[in-house]
Amino acid sequence: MHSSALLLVLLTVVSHSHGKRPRDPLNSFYVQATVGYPWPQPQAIHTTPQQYGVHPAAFHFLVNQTSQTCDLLTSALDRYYKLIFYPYSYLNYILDPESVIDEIKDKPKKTLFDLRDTPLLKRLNVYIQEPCERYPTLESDESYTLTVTSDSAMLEAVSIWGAIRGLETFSHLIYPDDNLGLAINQTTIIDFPRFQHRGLLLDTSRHFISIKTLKINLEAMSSSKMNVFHFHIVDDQSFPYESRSFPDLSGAGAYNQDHVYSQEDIASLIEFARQRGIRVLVEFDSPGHTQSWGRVIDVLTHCYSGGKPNNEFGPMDPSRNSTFSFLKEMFSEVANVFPDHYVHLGGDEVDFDCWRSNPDVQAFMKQMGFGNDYSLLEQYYMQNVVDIVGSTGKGYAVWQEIIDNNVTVKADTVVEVWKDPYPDELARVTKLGYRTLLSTCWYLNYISYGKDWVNYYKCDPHNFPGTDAQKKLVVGGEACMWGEYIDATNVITTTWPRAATVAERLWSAANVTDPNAATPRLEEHRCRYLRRGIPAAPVNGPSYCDFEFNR
Amino acid sequence: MSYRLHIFQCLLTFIISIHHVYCIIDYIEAKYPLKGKPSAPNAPWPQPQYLNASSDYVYIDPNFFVIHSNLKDCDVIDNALQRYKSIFFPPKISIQNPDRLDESRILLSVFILIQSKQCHTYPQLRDDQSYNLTIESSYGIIYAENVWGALNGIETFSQLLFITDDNYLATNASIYIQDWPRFPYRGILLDTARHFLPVPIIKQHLDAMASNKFNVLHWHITDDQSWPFVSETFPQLTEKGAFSSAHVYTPENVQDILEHARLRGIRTIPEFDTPGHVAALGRAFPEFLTDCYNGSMPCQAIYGVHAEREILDPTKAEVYNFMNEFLKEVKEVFKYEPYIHLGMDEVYPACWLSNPNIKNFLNENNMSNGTDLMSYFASQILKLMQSIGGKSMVWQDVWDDGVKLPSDTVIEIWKDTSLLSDSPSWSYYLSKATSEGYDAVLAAPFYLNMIEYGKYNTPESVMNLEFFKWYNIDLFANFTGDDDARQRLIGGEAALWAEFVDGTNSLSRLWPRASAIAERLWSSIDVNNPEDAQFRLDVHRCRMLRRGIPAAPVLNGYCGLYEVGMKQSMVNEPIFNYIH
Repeated sequence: MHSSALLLVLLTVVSHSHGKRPRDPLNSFYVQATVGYPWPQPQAIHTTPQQYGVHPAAFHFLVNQTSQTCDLLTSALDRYYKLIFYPYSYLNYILDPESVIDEIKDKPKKTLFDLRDTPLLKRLNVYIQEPCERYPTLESDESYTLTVTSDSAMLEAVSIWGAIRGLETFSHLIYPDDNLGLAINQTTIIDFPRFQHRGLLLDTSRHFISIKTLKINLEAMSSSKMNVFHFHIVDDQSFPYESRSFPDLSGAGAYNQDHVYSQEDIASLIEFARQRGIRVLVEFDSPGHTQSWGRVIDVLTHCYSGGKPNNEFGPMDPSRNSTFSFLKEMFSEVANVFPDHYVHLGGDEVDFDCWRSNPDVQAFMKQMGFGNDYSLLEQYYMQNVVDIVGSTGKGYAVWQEIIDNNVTVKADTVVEVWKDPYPDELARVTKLGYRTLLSTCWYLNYISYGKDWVNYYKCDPHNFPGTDAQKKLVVGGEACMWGEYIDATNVITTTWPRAATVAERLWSAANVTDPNAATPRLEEHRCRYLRRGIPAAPVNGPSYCDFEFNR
Repeated sequence: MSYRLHIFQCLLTFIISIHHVYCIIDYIEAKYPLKGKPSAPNAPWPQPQYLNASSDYVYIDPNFFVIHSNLKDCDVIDNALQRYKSIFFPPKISIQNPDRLDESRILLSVFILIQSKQCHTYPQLRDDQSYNLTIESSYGIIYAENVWGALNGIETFSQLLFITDDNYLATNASIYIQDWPRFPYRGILLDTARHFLPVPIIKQHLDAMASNKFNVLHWHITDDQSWPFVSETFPQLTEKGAFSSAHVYTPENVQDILEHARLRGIRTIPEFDTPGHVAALGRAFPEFLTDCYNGSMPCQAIYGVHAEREILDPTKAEVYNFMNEFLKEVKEVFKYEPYIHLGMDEVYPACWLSNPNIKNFLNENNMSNGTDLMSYFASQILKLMQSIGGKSMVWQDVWDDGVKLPSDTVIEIWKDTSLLSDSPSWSYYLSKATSEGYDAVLAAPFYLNMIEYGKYNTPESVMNLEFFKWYNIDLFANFTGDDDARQRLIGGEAALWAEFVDGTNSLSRLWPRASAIAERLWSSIDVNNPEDAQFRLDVHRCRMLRRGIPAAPVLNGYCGLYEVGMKQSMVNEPIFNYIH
């Protein structure tokens, strides 16, 4: 079911508006939204004005007899049925499956009798070619084709993950319509992602973010086909991860015992992500950004001033074997708890001052023949850590400093570029043959006034000098929402729909670059978020949505 | 301000001796530990003018605490006492009964003594807003000249309460506060035209305003983009001018909002902006707008110069007939408020001057330019306002144009070099307007919609707080007016223009950013150390979270189990979010 080049040529991208709501031409003061147009832009889409009504009593999903199936598909079909027909109740439902449908707000706007003379879409046939994988991976196939050409629509995919992406697109095609209640247009779509890794980083150390809010964020990611949740779970400020082997880490390192993620929390988050084809890439950053680790466990470097320890602590202490035995145990737990093949090891922003001040570290430098070059010590530390993690069978992702500092890493390492100028760095890292992620231009926490998403939209991970082989090594990118000024009060409204513009950059074809063309679709997408209960903020200037958010 | 106290040393003698359930802020980077003095868990915001408190505590028994006043059957007071119950004793947190063996450790009652014995209906600009608050072991007293001062006192009292780690409600055993605002006008501008704000969200903003002692809601209700205000005289305004029939404020909605504000001591000044910013009005009454010409062709837009049609046509009698009828209705709807904000900003005359009828009108009336025409329009409308018994508030533009304004007009200053490169500074305008005898309000440096990422403050100190660029603005900086002019600088206004905010993010965008301005407008000018203030502001933002307002974080750190999405999360409590 691989997308054929021929079909791609035949299906042209047709912009459309179904004219649901003609607006006063005098009024150019606010943004007009598209109607029933998917986000991110599919690789190839063809639609016609032919409408079909969609009604909950006359529509069902049908898994083809020859299709592969699994629990992921069953739950996805259940979820998308609710999402399409019970949008008001949907968010409560996915957060708490025991919650009840709001029969009044979610009542169909039209009866079947009203629609008796209308062609109806009666079913979506789903066909999956290959047996379901349990978890999505960097190599997963997410392609699908979707055809709505008669009363029976067809969704075909190689893998369960492609089927989930196709169901998402299907849900975007259905729109509220004054005459039909819900409608869908005749549509043919061939679709696949441009990049395999379409990530979003949230930081739960600077501020704790409740599991409930993290799940809402995962749901928002899946609405924009993002597929990696980069869980920057711990940092200097707090250690909310409740470890099995080292419960004291969060015991002393969390802000307080209400601000922790239990093992059940983590498991339910991973499961929630898995159902949406989202990988959870956890980051345990070291040797820097580790102040919160050292509140009870003695792994940090003791800083000295005037020949005495001054009660301050620096990065992890590489001069002591105990540091590495701790890390060994810690990472073997992490390898167990988080099913993804990759663990993010951080490795960024290591401050050498404290290492320099510590006599044991100085002695160790001498013993190792590092001279005064503390980057060699950093390299030594990271080498040990990557070897430890490598021995658990995991792969790892790292911030770019590891490569900048010449640490030898496994061939399947994913290197995340976060510094400017990013084109040079992308060129450098891919030249070394590593798979590479870009995040430099997508630090969404750096807020500014106005339509700032245009800058994210214009940033392209292939924008660097390099060979085709180098470009192929760029597996994607990540939008980063660092948490200095972000917590559950504003994480969703600040992230969405701005992250969705990164999602489109990473999913859609390289030539989908015009922000003006994207604006009406983004406007519809943001209103779609509101309809689903997710408070995505206005980003295009004055506008309105049919469903406004009042809490 | 009936009295002024001279140079009281502001003594904060709170000592954090017991654990409490809230708020820690944390550094940005380990190498930049926070400076400043950590706050008591119950530090009030804005900082009172004079405050002295002991370091020992008294406890409150939720079943035996009485707060009452000398005014019986006064809706402002009765409603407040009812309302504050869920603030004193928050839902989902069960307050423990303290050990009553030692009665001296129990705060039994607070008595509110309103000196004037009058139950005022609606706050006025020059009303006395001061209060005294005393707690002496078992008893407290709030003394105020009128109900508005009493509301301020109750608010401060509510902030002095805090919940200990083991869920006792406590406050300092001995407290003495004398408090009054530095400026009588402390406003918030909400714009419901660029995006619609649902009624429950506006009510939450009003709650947050009361928690920060803001006392004016400047309701920028209409603009080019939409006209959500339902007029009973001219229903076509919303039929044609609103985003949709769901994006409107019905007369009941408006009264609901006005009442919500009034009961919190907040005035609501509606703004109906003319002659510009009227595209939505023009959808209902296209004939009121000026046809813009390109040469001899009518209704031609020239990009960057003018639209096809824009700005009310001041030569048409029906425009004034409409304004007369409409403003009369507005006056009746906002029945207690003497002021209507008439806008009169950003009138660009290019369209007017392109129109041959208007050019004839200018010739016939010995006018030479757009400014003359604007003066003509403004004078008519201001006269009209006087004839219906209303007072006017305006953006400064009309005054910039030299239009003679009635002496009781309030001029709102929004221009500054930072916004318009060819403009003088806001302090120049403030000095000039007040010296000419007008009351003036400052909005120019307080456009909170213009967000930017918090920046490192100085090389020595890393607060990284965007907020404190507002905190450190002294309204009297570079002020050149005399003492009388100083009295006419009546306050400031934090404006949240709504191009990029709506119900999803307006609360977390405005709060606690606006709190920084609240303290600047209320507290003494000596309260100006941002390093200390950030700790108190953090206490206050957590306090707002406990009251159901999703106020955003000011730095790294945490509040408590009542944060959004957590077990005791308050934002979805019906009592705080007004969704029926």
